[in-house]
Amino acid sequence: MRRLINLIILFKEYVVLAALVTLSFFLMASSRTNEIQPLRAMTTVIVGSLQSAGSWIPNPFAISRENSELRDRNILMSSELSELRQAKGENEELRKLLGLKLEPGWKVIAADIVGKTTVFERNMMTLSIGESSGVEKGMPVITDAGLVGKIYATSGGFSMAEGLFNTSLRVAVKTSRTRVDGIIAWEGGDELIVRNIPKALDIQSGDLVVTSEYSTFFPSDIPVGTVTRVEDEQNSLFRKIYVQPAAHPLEIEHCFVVLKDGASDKERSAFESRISDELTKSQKKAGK
Amino acid sequence: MPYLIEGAIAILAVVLQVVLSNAISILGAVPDLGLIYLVWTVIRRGQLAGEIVGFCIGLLLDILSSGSLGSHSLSFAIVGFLLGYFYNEEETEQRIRNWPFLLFVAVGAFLNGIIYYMLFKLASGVGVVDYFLGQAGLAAIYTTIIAVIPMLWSSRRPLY
Repeated sequence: MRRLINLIILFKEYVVLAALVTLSFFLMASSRTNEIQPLRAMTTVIVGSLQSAGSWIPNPFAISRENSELRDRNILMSSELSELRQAKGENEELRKLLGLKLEPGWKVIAADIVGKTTVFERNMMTLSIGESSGVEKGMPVITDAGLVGKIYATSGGFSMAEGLFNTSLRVAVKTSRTRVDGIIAWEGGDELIVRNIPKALDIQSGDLVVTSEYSTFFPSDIPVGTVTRVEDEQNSLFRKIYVQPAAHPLEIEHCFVVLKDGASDKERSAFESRISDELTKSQKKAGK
Repeated sequence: MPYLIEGAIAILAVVLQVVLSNAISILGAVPDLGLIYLVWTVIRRGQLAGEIVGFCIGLLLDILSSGSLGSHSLSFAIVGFLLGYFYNEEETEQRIRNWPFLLFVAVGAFLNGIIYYMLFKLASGVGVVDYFLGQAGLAAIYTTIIAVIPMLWSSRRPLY
């Protein structure tokens, strides 16, 4: 017995470890038993209360991570908000386009403006429709607000239009109130200009300017813009009129291409061309 | 009396670890204050005290953390026993007040992780590398860094 006690004392570290390991395994085996559960429940309540009491202490690392996550979410939501706002604007624009009232006989086809380019002083727009949709060179481009421009070139699936802010585009117009005719053009800046309007004719700021019947490209009475000011040309009998465009080419994203009645236009063009040629010939004869 | 104070410190360390776990965690890893106290005890009192204190601290941690009863007590008892092999009565103060204390803590944390992994994680199919590259490794590093505090504290005052 004494030898056994001496042996235990000699190897006490191992004996104690064996006892503790055995006890640990016993505890592990019994940790799920019903006898232990009240103790676990009590400790859970106590620890929960202590943790709750200590929850006011901030964790800078967790706050930093949470801030980072919230920042990411904020960026995501800002992006979604921006998309929603854009969709809302697009929706309103499309609703207006749906309400566009056209004269009987006109055919229009909707198009998206997929690109805008500026070459020298020629502002061009690329439309999402082309020859395959019936678009031809010279067709007017409009929105619900008014005239936008004219088709300049076409391909199978796309077309390019020159907008009103284009030095090469000239449109026959008239004022809707007093029916004064003129040619509108862009010479730079934010406004269009109608030159050579006799001073005697009645034009005032706020007058609506629409397309004239004299144009071979544009149907009549399409709004072009509003007169903003009238200026006398120096040493001249004429005035020039500044017009704010009704549809700003740089701000629109959707438009319509007016599919003209080709037969009547061609007939008119041919007739006007024939008369013009005859007049030129008679002038030459008179000159001789 | 010294034993009572040491017992109170041990309980305080484990309670702080459990109660402040949310406030002091980094990426989910919490420093093992109980292990730091265990290393302190092993360096000062040797293998037998280490395994007994380890068992008691582990059991307290099991009770307070609502974990499997006996799991931490087993691993801490084994850690106390294994670290006890490096006990040297003549170098107690030097070890506690200098970098060997941090080395003991790091080895203890690693051993604790190994034992815990073999007992509870091996069967679940978690890879040992993944385990140590994850929270276990982070917790070991965090525990070692926190152990600098008692090391510096003990270097400014007499141990006994």
